[in-house]
Amino acid sequence: MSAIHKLGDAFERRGKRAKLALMAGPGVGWLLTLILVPMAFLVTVSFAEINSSYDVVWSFSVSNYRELFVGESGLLQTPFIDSFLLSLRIAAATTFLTVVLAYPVAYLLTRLSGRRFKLVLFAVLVPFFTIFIVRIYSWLSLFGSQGLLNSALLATPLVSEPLGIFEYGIVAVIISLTHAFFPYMLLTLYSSLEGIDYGVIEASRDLGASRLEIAKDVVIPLSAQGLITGCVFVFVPALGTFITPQFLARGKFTMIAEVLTARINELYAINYGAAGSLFLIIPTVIAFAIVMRTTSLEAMG
Amino acid sequence: MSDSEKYSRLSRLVGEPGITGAVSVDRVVSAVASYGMWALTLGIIAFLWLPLSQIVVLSFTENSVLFPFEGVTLGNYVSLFTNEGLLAAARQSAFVATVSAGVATLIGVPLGFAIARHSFRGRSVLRGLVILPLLMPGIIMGISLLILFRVVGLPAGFLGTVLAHSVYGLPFIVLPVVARLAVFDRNLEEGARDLGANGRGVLKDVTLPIISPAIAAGFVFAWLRSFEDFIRVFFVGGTMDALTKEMYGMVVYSQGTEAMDPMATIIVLVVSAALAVAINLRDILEYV
Repeated sequence: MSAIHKLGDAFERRGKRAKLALMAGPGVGWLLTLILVPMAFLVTVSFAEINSSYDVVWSFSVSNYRELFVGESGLLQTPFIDSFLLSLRIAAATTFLTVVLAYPVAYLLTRLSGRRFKLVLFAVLVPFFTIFIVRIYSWLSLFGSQGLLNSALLATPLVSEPLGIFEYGIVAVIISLTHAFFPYMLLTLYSSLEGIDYGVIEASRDLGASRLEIAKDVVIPLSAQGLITGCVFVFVPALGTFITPQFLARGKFTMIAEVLTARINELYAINYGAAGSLFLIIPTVIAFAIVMRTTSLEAMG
Repeated sequence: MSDSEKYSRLSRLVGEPGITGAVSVDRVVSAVASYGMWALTLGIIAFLWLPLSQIVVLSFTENSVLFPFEGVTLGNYVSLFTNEGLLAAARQSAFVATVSAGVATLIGVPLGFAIARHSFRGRSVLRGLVILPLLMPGIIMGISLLILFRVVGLPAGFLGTVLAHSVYGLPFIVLPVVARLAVFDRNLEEGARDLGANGRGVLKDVTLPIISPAIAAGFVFAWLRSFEDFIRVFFVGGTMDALTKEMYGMVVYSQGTEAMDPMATIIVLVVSAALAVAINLRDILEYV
């Protein structure tokens, strides 16, 4: 190959690389500077301290973590740990409820077509596209002792005093989170159920499998990927939710995002906030790893 | 005839009561299951709509509880449209959402092309990285960007919010574009090139028209995500107006809450109308 050809090749390669850099560069830059670098900062700051003029002092210290874990009454007896464990339970309950409710609807959707499909889809998606704070707010006047649920029941002869289950508190938070995140689960489940060849189900029925067996041995394994993705996309945001407990727990308990926000806002303790944030970053990273292992990006469109 | 069709024909034949002479237990079970599924679905739809419909009703009533009923009014709407602060916040949020979704589109479309069409080192890492803004709890993004902006000396406000929301919206652009390009028939581009179109012409007349619905849907999602975000703008927005911050304050401090129900009603109605049009126009599930 002549020198000129080599030079031409080199230029072409260079041109290709330059083009690629031009296309991917801004996006990569955005993700690096606004996602990865801040996360790295967060981890660093969690080991730093804050001086009296609220500037970060770059010296290594684990006092933020000590403050998280060690309370006045002993190890792990801190409001933070309590909130974290409670948040985990609330997120788990929410995820479970969305799975139980979304599976049948997603399956039904795959069996429908035309007008009925569009109607069900519409009915399910409108709440999903309504902004989050409105969805949570809409539960505010339903719950509570003066709320619509209780006052409607009081108007009937069935009950004589407000029911505790419809008071503000953990039930209200879990129900409204389930309401808010249900469509995420539904859509991921639907898209994975949609991919199942219905012939497989018919074949197993013909081979004598009962409905339960078909659900257990065919449908659920084949939609497992969507199930896992759906769980992750419900669990992680539910864990870090802030507005929901603010509106619906009414100070009865605090979730982890509220503890962090309060510390940062009232005390400007961004180092403490950073240390606490790790308890949300770690689940995020685990969730991320799960999604990466189970889902192809092309399927997530 | 495909195998599955054969199977289903066969099963229909075998399952036909006329042939076997008895209604099989499985048929009864399947009918019950089918009705049960419908009942459950309708129940869930009622559950999804209960709070929203309640808001619509309350927006027209005198007091903010339905019992005792005190009459119908448009007063709540009057207090909404005279609440300058709330309206200004809504306009500001729409502006932030438009700029952020625009930036996300400008950055995200080429990134989607790079991921879908080129092979390079670190591609699979990048594919993963793209979903991180979607998966990351908002409070983590808020706190970490607050710290970053403090360290580099960027004051909280409009610019910080647009930066945060543009990276938040990035997956909503990149994922549909990548998904669309994955099923894209490249022969179309080949054909256009054979017919004499140059690279720019192919992109403009063939590729972009085919993927533009995906981009448009992505833009709408990114816009909505920015518009409805509270926690990120709470941390990096500083004193800038935002609709969600305004609404949050109204609820937490119980101030001017009579404007909440009409505001929420209008949002529900706009969303319903837009969605009804979108569902009738095309298969929107492709882009969710």
